[in-house]
Amino acid sequence: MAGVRECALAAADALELARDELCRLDSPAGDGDHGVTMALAAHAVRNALDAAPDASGADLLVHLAAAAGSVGGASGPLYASALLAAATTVRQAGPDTGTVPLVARCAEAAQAAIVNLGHAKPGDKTILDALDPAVRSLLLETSNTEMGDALAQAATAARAGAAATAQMTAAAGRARVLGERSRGFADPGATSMAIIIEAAASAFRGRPPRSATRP
Amino acid sequence: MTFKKLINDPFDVVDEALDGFVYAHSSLIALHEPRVVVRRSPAGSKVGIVVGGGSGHEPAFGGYVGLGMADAAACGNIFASPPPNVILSAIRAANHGHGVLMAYGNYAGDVMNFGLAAQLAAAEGIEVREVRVSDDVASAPKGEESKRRGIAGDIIVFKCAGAAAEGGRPLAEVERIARDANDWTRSMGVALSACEVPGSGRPTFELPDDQMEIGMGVHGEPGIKRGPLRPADEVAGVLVDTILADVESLRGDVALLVNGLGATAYVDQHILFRAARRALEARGLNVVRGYVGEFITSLEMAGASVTVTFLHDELLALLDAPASAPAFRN
Repeated sequence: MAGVRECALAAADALELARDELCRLDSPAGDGDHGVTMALAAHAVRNALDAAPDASGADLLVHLAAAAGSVGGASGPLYASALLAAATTVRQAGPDTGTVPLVARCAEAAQAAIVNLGHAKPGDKTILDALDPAVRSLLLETSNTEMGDALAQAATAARAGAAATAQMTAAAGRARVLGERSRGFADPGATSMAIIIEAAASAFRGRPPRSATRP
Repeated sequence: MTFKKLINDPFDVVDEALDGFVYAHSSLIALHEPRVVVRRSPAGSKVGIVVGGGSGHEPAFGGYVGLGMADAAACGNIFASPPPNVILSAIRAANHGHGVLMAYGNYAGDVMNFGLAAQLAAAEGIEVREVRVSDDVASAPKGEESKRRGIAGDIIVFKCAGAAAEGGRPLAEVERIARDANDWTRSMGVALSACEVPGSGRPTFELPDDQMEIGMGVHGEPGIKRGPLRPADEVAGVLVDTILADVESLRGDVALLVNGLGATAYVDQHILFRAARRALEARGLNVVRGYVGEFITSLEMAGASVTVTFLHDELLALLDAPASAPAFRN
């Protein structure tokens, strides 16, 4: 069964494939660097996985948090704090690993960490607009659900949430200053979050990540 | 539009540029670690000043490390805040036992990363204060000043805070002065053409050849008005009027700084300076200090910004205090 390592690798692959798409989404409202930042994060994640070949679970999540944080920007600290919150949740769970309810609690803790650090809320046209529907989807699942199915449902919800940001007015993050003019473009941060959740779902189903969509 | 860049691997841009910058100014600065610029000769006993932000804004931020300015600069990836561990290294390098003031532009990423670094430093027993520069009047309306981003006003705040620290003032005073310099400084820019983040393969925005965008940010964040390119005098008038409309009571003396964004000729920058100076004087203000040049760029973006600092005796004295940094000397 796939674990944190496989999901992280799949996410790194998917983010590198999506670099141009994410830069394109970041241009109308932001500074055009989001795809490059996430590709740098993917590179750091690969290095972290190589540097800790025996780490798994919570320990590996902590390594991944440091890797994600190392890219700075706005995404770096948000992902770092989200992954640290997930690691803490796994540690507190003790022997209960790899179950859908635990993954749901991890996702919930990750979301709370992002809210705490970034002070945004769903509807503000941020990363949360992909994560929040995914968390709600995961929390509805029972322990009888297959992990691959649960993640696939969450990924669908995240992608729909990211797509819906195109109709939102930015209220936080760098796109905030654009106000009404931010409408019409999906939020790059929400899009990369959807890509990561999709990659995790693919890893559990033993499939390669989706290829980057072209404009 | 394609951009011709004189680079190697796009992923090496930041570190290679920093290496070159430090080699070029090796009598003044050194690399403490890959992304942390420090003074060649560390200061003695005084409040430490840390500046920083994304790269791509050269000579910011390493150019403001030196006597009378910052002790250390933390440098991030292109247009992305440095991460907390890099900022923490800069804080440690700048700490001489009297606390550290961090001054940086008010952007979501910088606020998070510098804030986390301040917490890490506090856990080590280093007292850290932070001042977020927010001079860009185009980025949020009056009444929401705390949401504004920091652009060329950075340099005024770094200079005043640096001079106060060099003069032996305590941390609380240095913080007060940095806030005061920020409070009395307003900027607004105009963009004429875009830039390209190395590796992104596309310009950060599209702007037709005959158009300009008033109020655009230093990362290409959209401004408040797009229209046909106008003569420098007219552009300066719009920028100065918007800046002055933002200030309650106008003081008599001001400092005027014109900042080129990277691909606008020095000739144009000086024409804009002349026009802005005349616009200010026509509105009854005395321009007693002037600065023109590339202080905080945006890769190869074309355009410029106008920064006005409404002076009182203390700020003027701090602006005039000695400084010896790669990008600012008095």
